[in-house]
Amino acid sequence: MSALEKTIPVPDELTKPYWDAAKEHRFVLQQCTNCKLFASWPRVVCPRCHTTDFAWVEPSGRGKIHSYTIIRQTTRPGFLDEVPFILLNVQIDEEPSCFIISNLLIEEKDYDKVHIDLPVQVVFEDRGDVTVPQFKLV
Amino acid sequence: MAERPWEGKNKVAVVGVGMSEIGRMLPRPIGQLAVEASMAAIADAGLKMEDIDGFCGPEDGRDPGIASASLMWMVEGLGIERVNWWSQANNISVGLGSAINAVANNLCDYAVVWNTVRQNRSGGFGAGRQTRVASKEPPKAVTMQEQFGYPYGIGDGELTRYAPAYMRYMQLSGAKREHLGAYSLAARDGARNNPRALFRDQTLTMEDYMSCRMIADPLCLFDCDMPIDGSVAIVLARADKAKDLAQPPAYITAYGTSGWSWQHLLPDCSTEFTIDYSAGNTARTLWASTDMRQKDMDGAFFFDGFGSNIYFFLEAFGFAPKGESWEYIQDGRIALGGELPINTHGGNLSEGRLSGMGHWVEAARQIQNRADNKPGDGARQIKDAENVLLVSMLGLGGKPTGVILSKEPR
Repeated sequence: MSALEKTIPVPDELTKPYWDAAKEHRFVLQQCTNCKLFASWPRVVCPRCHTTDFAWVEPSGRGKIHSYTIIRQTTRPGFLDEVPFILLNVQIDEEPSCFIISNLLIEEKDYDKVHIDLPVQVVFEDRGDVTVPQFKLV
Repeated sequence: MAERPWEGKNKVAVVGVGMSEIGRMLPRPIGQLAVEASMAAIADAGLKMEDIDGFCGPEDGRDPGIASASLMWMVEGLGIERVNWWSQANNISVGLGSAINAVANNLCDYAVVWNTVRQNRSGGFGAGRQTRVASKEPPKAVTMQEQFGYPYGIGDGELTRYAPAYMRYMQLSGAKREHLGAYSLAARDGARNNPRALFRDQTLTMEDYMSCRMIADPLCLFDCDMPIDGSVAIVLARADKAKDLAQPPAYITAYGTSGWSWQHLLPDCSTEFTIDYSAGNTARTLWASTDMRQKDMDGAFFFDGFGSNIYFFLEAFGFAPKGESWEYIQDGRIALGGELPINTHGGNLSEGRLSGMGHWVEAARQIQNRADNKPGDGARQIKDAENVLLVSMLGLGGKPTGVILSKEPR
């Protein structure tokens, strides 16, 4: 396992609440206070209603697999020993237009059972001082 | 009557095409390749450099002249003093759209548009920016796409972004891997008759395709384009200046653009958003600009950074119903002599990763009746090609531009 060599995020003013919460093993998303959109990634303007007030809200952490791939070849540092691994695009339950990129963590790498639309649940992977949200099958 | 008639219709033509030497990690500066391609395109049109008064090239890059050949580098490097119109494009597909409309609006008489590609020297495409980080430190992700994508293994080539959309497509439609093999094989057949193609001397069988290594399921090696060094250029002319040049004009008779998705950090990860937004908006705007329809197209040139793009383009542009393009491409329909020949030159998969500019060269050649292997043999020529559809980019940073090239004004 080479988790410590994997790319880690460098939080900025906009993304710090997301990564701070992840460190506490809480999955939060930015939600527009006006139209209640959960944003797929931190925003400064709501792409749906064009207002600018957001709150950090903790959704259920559940979603379903919109799309995925099994990556079998990579030059990415930290992922060389991980192949094959699954890259996931999760549609979260609370918001059909909110999609989160993640990995799908499966014991024994039993990838044959993976399929689009399967339900998933957030879990957390600690990488040194940083924690990244991940997903597992429910 | 077209829904939104395009005022530039019939006012612009492709009059010359040029390509540099292409190959794997060529020991030549990219700037030389860009000049070689541009000069070739200008000469192909029967023009001289001093005739050109419009310029459109890539944005500034690393190591100007060595690893990149931007608009500014070209204008400076060639000592060009008379410029009536220019545009420096972060994506040459957008640049082409700007250039077409600039010529249509009489901002210049002749515009040369070029792009260069350079194979990454440090491994996989996009690896450079991550290997700059000191090796004992974990690589850092700073921008939004980096922060929310790199920690999960994204960023090692666009294939990690396209593969999920193709996986979803297969599971929704019932398509199997071998169905997309039909495209890779058709592209290779085209390349075998293309003197410029990287893979002109290599055959590809379905057995080769099915047994080759997987890169990111369901994309295998032969679904991916081949990184190369090279440059491609085209010359656009005002229609009234296009008639008496060295090549017959390939008129631009329809135009469409746009397409992105705000919902996905990586829009290419979604089948629906690729078809409905990325390619879909280009299709919608292109068909709105013209009275021509799918049945009027004698061929199609679709950017194929990955073979699976072909499925998405065919459905976005209405050649096949949603979820059925995998059936559409079987049984020789997209081969030369079929109902809709696609990428007769081999596409990015078999000609090389020319970012869709190779498609412009081939589409123009088809309309100009000179899709030859040896001069005059018409080895790749679509019989009686009157109109062809051409879409130059899709997906990641794709910002597609679509046009129809026609033998006569329409």
